[in-house]
Amino acid sequence: MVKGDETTGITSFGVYIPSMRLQRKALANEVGWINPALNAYGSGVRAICDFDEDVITMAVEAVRHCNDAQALGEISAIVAASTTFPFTDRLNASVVAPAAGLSDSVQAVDIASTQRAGVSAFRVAERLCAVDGASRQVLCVAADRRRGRPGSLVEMTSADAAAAFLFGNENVIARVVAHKVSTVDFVDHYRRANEAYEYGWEERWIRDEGYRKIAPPVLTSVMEAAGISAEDIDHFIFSSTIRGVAAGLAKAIDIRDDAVRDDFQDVMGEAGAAHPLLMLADTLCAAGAGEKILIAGFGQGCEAMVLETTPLIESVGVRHGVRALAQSDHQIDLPFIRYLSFNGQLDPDFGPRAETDRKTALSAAYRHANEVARLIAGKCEKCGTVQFPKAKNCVNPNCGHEGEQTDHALAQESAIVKTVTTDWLGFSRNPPNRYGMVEFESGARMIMNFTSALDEPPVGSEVSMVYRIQDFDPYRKYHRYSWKARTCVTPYNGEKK
Amino acid sequence: MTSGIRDKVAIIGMGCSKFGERFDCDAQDLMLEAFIEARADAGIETSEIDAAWLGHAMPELGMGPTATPASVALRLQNIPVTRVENACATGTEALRGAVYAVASGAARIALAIGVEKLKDTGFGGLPEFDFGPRASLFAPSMSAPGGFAQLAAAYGAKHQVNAADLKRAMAHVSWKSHENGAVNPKAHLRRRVDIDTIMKAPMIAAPLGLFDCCGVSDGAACAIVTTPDVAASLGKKQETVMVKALQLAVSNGVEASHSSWDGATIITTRSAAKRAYSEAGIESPRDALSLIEVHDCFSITELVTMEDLFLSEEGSAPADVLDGFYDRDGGIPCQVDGGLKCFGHPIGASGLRMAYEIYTQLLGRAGERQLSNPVLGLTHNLGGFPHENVSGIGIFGLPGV
Repeated sequence: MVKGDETTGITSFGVYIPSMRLQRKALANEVGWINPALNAYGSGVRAICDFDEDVITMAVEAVRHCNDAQALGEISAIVAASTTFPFTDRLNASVVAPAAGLSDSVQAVDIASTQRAGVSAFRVAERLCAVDGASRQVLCVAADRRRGRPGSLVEMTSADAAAAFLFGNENVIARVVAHKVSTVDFVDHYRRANEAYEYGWEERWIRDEGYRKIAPPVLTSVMEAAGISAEDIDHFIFSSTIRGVAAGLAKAIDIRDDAVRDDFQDVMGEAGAAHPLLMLADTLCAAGAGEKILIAGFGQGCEAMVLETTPLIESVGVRHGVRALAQSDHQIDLPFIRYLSFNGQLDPDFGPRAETDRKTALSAAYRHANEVARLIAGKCEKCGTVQFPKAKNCVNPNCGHEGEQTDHALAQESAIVKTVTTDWLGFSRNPPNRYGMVEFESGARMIMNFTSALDEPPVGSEVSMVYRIQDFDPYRKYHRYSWKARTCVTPYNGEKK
Repeated sequence: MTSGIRDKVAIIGMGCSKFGERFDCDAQDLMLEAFIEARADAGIETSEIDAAWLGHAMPELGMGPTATPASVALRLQNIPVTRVENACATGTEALRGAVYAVASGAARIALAIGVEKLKDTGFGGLPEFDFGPRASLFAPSMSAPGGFAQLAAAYGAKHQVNAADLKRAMAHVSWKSHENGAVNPKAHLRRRVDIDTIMKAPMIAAPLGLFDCCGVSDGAACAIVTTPDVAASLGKKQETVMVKALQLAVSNGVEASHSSWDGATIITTRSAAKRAYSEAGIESPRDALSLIEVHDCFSITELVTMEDLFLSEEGSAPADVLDGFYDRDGGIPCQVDGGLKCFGHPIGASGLRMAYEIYTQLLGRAGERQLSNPVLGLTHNLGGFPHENVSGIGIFGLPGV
């Protein structure tokens, strides 16, 4: 029993599902010749990253999509989970933190290496929050973008997405009432360090020896620890790409059929370590007060929790669930060849301009870390002009005041397109390159890329900021992040319907 | 109040290489080609040159850093040679150095030479720009056409010109330059192109199609300048062109960072133009100028420049262009040599190439493309992007004008 046990719980959550879609039928048409069995999976769609998205950018979006994200307040820790972090020796959570608006005093932790990483991160964040109670707030964010070998079942079933949960001790909407875990080196699949693809074993063996034997004791014991029985469970969250696993487990331990939660395989696919948390966020959109949620993560054993919603869950109101988000109007279908080239699975000829060295000066990047990651502009202390980049002498021709400017963050401000072009000449990994000048509400302006849209935004239209990969350096395997403008405002589950 | 450069410096010789895809030449060969012509024109020996300015914008593609390659290629006599670079306004910058050296008395005779060797990249168009370690952290990888294409979006929005009408006016800009380039033996692109072909050309950076973009060329141009007295002593009195104004204006960040810029004008061009007209004593440029050579890197740039030079009223450049006011038989012939569009755009040479055409026209040496009795011409040389740039303006006239 620690001090925060009585009070700690979820206060807010956010989900991010990228707009790009890969139609499984199109995918099956391309790879079905290799393995005709894949045609049986040829329905529905996969939600996938745009060319400039990855685990970090999705995680940033999920945090920003937490309800009332701007009012999150001081967050003392961030626990990030993924099996596909872009860096293995650079704290990925530390890249997410400033872009998500967290302060430098935050504790940051990465949890990786297993499909249950999301559930583990959820528990670690919850415990970090509970450890000293009081006003402490801790963030958990899970994101994944698994890539299977073309022609594999993983390629057919996986999705890219992120979910974030904020834990606190006030205004809690759901609490963890019990937690149980088993750790077993059950190798249903594995991926060695530095390998692009995983290797997996036969599904029937995974189902019979893995899910059916490893999960039930943990699920049963966590319900026992919570002091409830299986029929008390209102929502059962268990993610697997093997069909019927969740329903089979529910049946085996006497959980009601109608408590088994939707896995969204048809509208987005399975987002790896993030998927149980996506399903949990979706459940919270639908749950009433006092409902019991059983959630588990599976991978090298099983980790399970029972959660109970509080009366404050009603304050969440009717929000966009995962299905509604995945089926929003902003989906863009990607051809398979383009998808492969986005992921480096195909190496097309991007032309001679692709040869340009895009080395990042790490010293300059660090010098401008705030400017770039937090999109910090300067505000003149004399005339109030907000300007990017921040300067030591005001750009306003009628002012020219010399002196330090105060920080003014632009990431959450909307902006208007002032100029635009669609450039077929300049290099982009997703040609044509679209960019132009945008002007923020505060008057600051900058030239930036437009992303994730089928056409250029017209002059005068509104755009919002998204954190994306700005450049790839193929020689040094480094990519740097920055902000881009996006036309459509994708609905998010922090937005009430 | 400065007294200005008007009539203090005379151009006594100019030269210009054939522009184009000079796969047969190094940058050094191009310089020598232009230099030999200018030296013969001036009627001087190399040893009479006291100082030189080299304009070379992309040394990594051409002949490397410093002014040494020019000194070696031209066998200059261990005189001071300075390499200058101000993006596409580099040629004008080189001329400024030489002109000011003469005006100050530091040099009796000075040389300005600009060169660029762009066709050793292995592909069409310019290479990617490197904005340095800071800007590259957040700036898009913007191409030259992409940078200037944004002018069209902003101009259309500001003046409520629909995209199709603007595209048509831009097409006329390019059509006219192709007509002019066809009769210039030194021009890179000498084929006439009809409006329909221009309008339907493949898109490079919307709304700029292939024919909205200037030639990427190899070439060199140079000028030999001195004082009017020295010119007279060399017996050049009847064959000199006087520098009437030479101005440069450089962005200070307002366009890029302050909401006062509408994106549809080039602030520096306006600033340099006002100063240049004042320096040259011109009150009504639309009436005074016999011809102009402007920085038509892209059709939209030329169109907007007509307003920035105060030649067309605000919002009326498309109408003036379509009326043929800037055609060779119009009110102010523009790009009678084909311009950047067709003469070509070897970056460091372009400002001097523009001056070369004004000089050639004023001295009545333009052959098939000769205008009738021109007395005063303007060059406009623009480097960078609309939101951050260098504008150079030169005004040249016959003595006594």
